[in-house]
Amino acid sequence: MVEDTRADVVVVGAGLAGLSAARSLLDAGVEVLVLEARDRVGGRTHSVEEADGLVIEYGGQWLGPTQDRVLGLVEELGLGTFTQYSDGDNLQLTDGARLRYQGAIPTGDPVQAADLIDAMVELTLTCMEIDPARPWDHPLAAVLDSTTLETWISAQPYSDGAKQWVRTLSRAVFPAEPGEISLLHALFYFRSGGGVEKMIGTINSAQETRISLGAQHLSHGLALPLGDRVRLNCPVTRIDRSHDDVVVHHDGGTTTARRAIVAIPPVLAGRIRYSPPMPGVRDQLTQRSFMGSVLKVHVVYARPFWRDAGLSGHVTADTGLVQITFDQSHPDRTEGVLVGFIDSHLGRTASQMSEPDRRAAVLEDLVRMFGDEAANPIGYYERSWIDEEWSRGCYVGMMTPGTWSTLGHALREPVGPIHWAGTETAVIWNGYMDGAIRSGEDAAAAVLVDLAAHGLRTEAAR
Amino acid sequence: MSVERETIGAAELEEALREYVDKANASPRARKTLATWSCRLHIAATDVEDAAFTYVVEQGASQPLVVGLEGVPDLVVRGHSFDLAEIFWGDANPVSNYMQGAIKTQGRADDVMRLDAMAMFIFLGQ
Repeated sequence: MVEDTRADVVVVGAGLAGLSAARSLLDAGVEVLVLEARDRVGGRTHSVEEADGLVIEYGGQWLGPTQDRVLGLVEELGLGTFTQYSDGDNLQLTDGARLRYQGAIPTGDPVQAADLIDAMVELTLTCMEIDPARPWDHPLAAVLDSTTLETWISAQPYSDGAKQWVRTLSRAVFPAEPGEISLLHALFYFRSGGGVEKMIGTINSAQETRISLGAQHLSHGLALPLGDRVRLNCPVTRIDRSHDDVVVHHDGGTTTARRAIVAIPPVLAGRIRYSPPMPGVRDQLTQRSFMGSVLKVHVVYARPFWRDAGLSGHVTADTGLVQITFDQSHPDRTEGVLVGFIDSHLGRTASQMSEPDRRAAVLEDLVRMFGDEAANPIGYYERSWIDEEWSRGCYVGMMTPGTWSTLGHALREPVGPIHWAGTETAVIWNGYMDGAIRSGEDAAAAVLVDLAAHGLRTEAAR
Repeated sequence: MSVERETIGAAELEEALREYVDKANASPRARKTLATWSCRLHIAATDVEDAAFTYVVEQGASQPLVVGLEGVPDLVVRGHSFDLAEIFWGDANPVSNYMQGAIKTQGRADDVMRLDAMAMFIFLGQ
């Protein structure tokens, strides 16, 4: 059914950012309408309960200390959580060797480990000099932004193994090849998460906690009070704007509102047609934004057999499709689940393989990591985020080298009545669920100020 | 996870920490990587009443240990005496998941990271 609707504010995207924005506005007495292209809320979180009750987390899943907004929402919604399993030794597969270690830094090779600590200290101390709200203001922004992370890695006096591990880290964290992003972007991202150490570990780090029912329940909880103000299957195709109004065209009709918050990744925001067109710098920015490349696989076994060998399930490897794994088992269930990430160029390669070939390659990787028992799973689930029409990648959108320093200012700056949200616009925990929530709340606050400044009455007031 | 650990007396903990200070000054990696680091640390065992120390790093050089808590700390480190001793002796990985949960720090994230780095260099014999 096609219909014309009115609202004070229309929000594009029912992920955590859009729903957080909408809820904040609703709480402030503003009438909102959320338009979502998919047939579900949650964006890049997607938790599916399979027939046997096992929850598969196809998208974002981890929470950690200092992620106060998402932790607050978990508490507010009364969602149960559990600690990421991390007992036992991690494994590093490097140069054909299989080294055990504990913590975030592989210690099997002491010289390599010391190099990695050097790298972590150097990157963290440098990132602390970046203002995450204005990375382009750094005195060396132009230099840092014209240097790729790969150039930086190659120039360091580290062992080859250490350099390789930092490359693997880049693929896992961003997820992008270190040659695809600038050093400025990497430093900005590390800064927004509080430093490298905070981002790569489990305990006391970003991978510490999971939500028992699945992370998508955060969005279900946010959407509940919004009721039918959330419209699914409504991809937005065009936004017309005037000084004080927007008309948003979508598959369900049109919506006229005072303001719009576009809460989708910049590269997808750039695919909407705007009338009048976006200012050149904004469009140049979205042209230079790209999504990370990742496939996420869950491999289910009758039991977490790797724990018998004193292994945590966390592996970093320098070969194979799957180069990062974690123990994904739920503490209340008997199955053992390994989650693997196929990142960056490996993700692009894997997305072009047939499902059976990909599955065979994944199992081959897991056998190399955990032994022959890994060859016989009882379940296999995968998601290629690259192929998701309404994300076109995960976990986060990034900037190509040279973009932050020249066009970064256009990332958050409203264009007339159109405001921007999404984890890509977050200053703190950019790329994470926490950042998405913060960005939505910040955009809602900015819209409220904007409406008040222009003396615009809301639907409720009328 | 509950772990039974023996209590380490204040004197032994002091000895371990003095050895740690010597190792920090002898570590070429720590001296190079942390050359610009200055920090006043208060270190206290949660299970031994009089086991509290002031450890000062000036431009990467560890100063002689002071028994008791002196001055305003940049970083406070607390933990069970056994866990602290394991780290000071260089016997335990200071950034293992267990230690990350067992040792509590209060202060700026970059100071915590530098302390972790120093402890790791000592643990690795680098």
